[in-house]
Formats: sequence, structure tokens, C-alpha cells
Amino acid sequence: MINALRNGDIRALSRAITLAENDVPLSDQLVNHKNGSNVVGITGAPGVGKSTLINAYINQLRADGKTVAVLCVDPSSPTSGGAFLGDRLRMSEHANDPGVFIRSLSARNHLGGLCKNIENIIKVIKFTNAWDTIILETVGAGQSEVEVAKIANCKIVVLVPGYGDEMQAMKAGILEIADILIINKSDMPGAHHSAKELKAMLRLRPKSDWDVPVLMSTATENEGICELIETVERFKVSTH
Amino acid sequence: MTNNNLKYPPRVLVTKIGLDGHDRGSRIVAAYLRDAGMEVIYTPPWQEINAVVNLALQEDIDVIGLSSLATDHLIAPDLMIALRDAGLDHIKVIVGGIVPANEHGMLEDAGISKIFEPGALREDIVESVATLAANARSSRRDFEEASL
Ligand SMILES: Nc1nc2c(ncn2[C@@H]2O[C@H](COP(=O)(O)OP(=O)(O)OP(=O)(O)O)[C@@H](O)[C@H]2O)c(=O)[nH]1
Ligand SMILES: [Mg+2]
Repeated sequence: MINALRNGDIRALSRAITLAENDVPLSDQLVNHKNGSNVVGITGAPGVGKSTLINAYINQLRADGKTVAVLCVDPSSPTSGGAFLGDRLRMSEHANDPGVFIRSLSARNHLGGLCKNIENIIKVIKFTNAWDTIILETVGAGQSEVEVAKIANCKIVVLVPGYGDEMQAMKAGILEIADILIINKSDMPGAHHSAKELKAMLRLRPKSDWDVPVLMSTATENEGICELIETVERFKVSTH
Repeated sequence: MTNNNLKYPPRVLVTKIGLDGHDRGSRIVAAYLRDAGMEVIYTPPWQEINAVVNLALQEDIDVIGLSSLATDHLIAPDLMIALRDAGLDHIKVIVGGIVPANEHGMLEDAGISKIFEPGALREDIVESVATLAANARSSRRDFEEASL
């Protein structure tokens, strides 16, 4: 398994993720492996366009010749424990690209927007040295995704124009975790107004080394993605 | 410990290959399976065989459910070959929908595990998928050791 993983065998990677997901502990080799993949977390309320944005993000990374692994976490039913894992359907144009690996995970009632063993799963992916960027899509729960803050190098919080519901989330700290804010669905009315409001709100914060930028995107049209990726890069440099 | 000792929900792909676009049946079955505690990926119709194989590979799928209301099942054998070529012959494939009696033999010969006719009972579908998922895992011969 370890050798197959190291050789970039996708069947091994897929299997290893299942094992890690199901509580199989990692050997020291995997735990201690050093790899510089950028782990980008994407969070935001249900339906704001996280998966669509990731699809556009993949488009751009692939155009730049970068490989990308995506982990999409979907909510599970609290009663049956079952889950529909639907995020990857927004990324199906990459189905046959060997430079893109997409894996769907059920939250299995774990709170916090990710799944219990997400850190080990990321270690498994990093061990392959095959993926330049690792993107995490959290459950679109709106309030409880703060866990991603511990795990991702760069946290992107997605909002939509008007973001009325997200004001609730803000109280719960979702804005506090953002390294980058992005208003998706900017083709809808009110995007500029929302961006202005957000910027005004952010100005009330104490100054810091990284001023959280407010970007705009229309993920369905691949618009605003170059700027997003540049900003992620800039953030990476600024935190080094 | 081997993989077979790991207990986790069946991972099922419910999909449609071919040209027919009626997806009511597959939606219903996907919901049955999810409500029975399974982890289900449901795709829209018209999937390419390669895309189905890659999805099953990346998602470590145990069972694929194909819905066929017209002639889609006639390309099911192509999917079986593609799965084998990708080293995924442990994955069990079932077909649900309208399959003329004289074509059942052809599907069984191609390695389809089970055919469900319209009117199949929810309990039967769920139980069959659960059993097949367990079989898929125990018939797996690659990476048998569950250690990392
Ligand atoms: N108009 C418009 N629609 C968009 C845009 N981005 C996404 N959508 C649509 O918004 C809907 C939800 O998109 P998803 O990408 O599934 O949203 P999500 O945040 O991943 O949703 P969950 O994972 O269910 O929380 C889809 O119908 C998308 O087509 C955009 O920039 N503009
Ligand atoms: Mg999504």
C-alpha cells in the first residue's frame, strides 16, 4: 500500500482514504511526511456556490499546469446516518482529467463542517506528493465550519449578494476565520453594495498584517477566479 | 486486520449511462439507499463510461446501480469491461428498470450481479445492495491489509 501510494497509484490513494476515514491509524512514515501542498478551505452557507467555485478554481489551476485534489464533505442524515454526496457533480467536467482527484466524504454526524478523520485523510494525500493544491469544501452549515480554520492554510469564506442569512453566521464567527472573503453570484443584483458593506465592516477591525480582502466572483462564468488564486498565493507568501 | 473487518456504510453510485434521460427511478432508489444509511453518489443521466469508472475509482465505490428504462442496459457489458480494465472488478453492478426477459442472460454473463424489475420492493433493493457491498469488499484482492 505504502509503495503504491508513493507511486501515485490512484486505486491505492482512494483505498487509503477509505481506511483513514474509517479510523485506521497512520504509520509514522505518513505522519512525519513533509509536503508543501497548499491546503485551501472553502466554506459558506448552503447553496452559495462553493462547489461551482471550486470547479472554476480547478479550471484555472489546470490551465496553470497545477494538479489538484479536492475533498468535499457533505452532511449526513442524523437519523439514518446515510448521505447524498453531491458536490462533485458540479465538477464533472474534470471527470477524466488525471491531474484532478475528487473525493466525497460524509460528515457522519461529526460537527464542525468536516469529517472526523479529515486531518489524516489530508496526510494520506500529501504523502503521495502528487497534488500541488488540496481544496476542502465544508458542509454548508453556515455556522459550524470553524474547524476548517485549524486545518486549511488559507480559508475562503463564500457569501452571496445580500448575504442576509450569513449575517447570522457572522455572529457565530464564520467571518472571523476568513483569510479571504468572496462574494459569489456577483451576476446577481446587489453584489457591489454587499462588497462595500463588508469592507466597511472589516475596517472596524484592529489592523493586522493581513487585511482580509473582499473579492467578487461569478463561478458559473469562471469570473473572478484569477484574482482569487492570486490572492491565495499572496496570502501564502504573507504568512511565510 | 483486513479490510473486511472495517465496518462502514456501503458506498454506492447510482447512475445512468446511455441516451435515455428518465431519471425518476434512479432518484427514488438513491433516496431508498441513503435512507437506509448508505453513502450515495447520484449522477444525472447520460454519463460516459470512462467518467463512471473514474468516479468509482476516486470514490472507492462498492456497488454501482445502473438504471435502464430503454436500451441503456445494452451497454452495461461495456462498463463491466472498463471496470475490469481499471482494476475495479471487485465492484458489484446491478441494473434496475425495464430489461426484457431474453436479455437477462446476456447481463448475467457480463457479470451484472442483479437485475431489479419495476415494482421491486424497497427492502429487497436495500438488502441486496448491502449484501453486494459486503461481497465487494471481501472479494477485493488488492490492498487487503488495512494498515497505512
Ligand atoms: N447566478 C449564479 N449562480 C451560481 C453561481 N455560482 C453557483 N451558482 C448556482 O448556485 C447553485 C448552488 O451551487 P453549488 O456550487 O452547488 O453551491 P454549494 O455552496 O456548493 O452548495 P452546498 O454544497 O449544497 O452547500 C447552483 O445552481 C449553481 O449553478 C454564480 O456565480 N452565479
Ligand atoms: Mg457544494
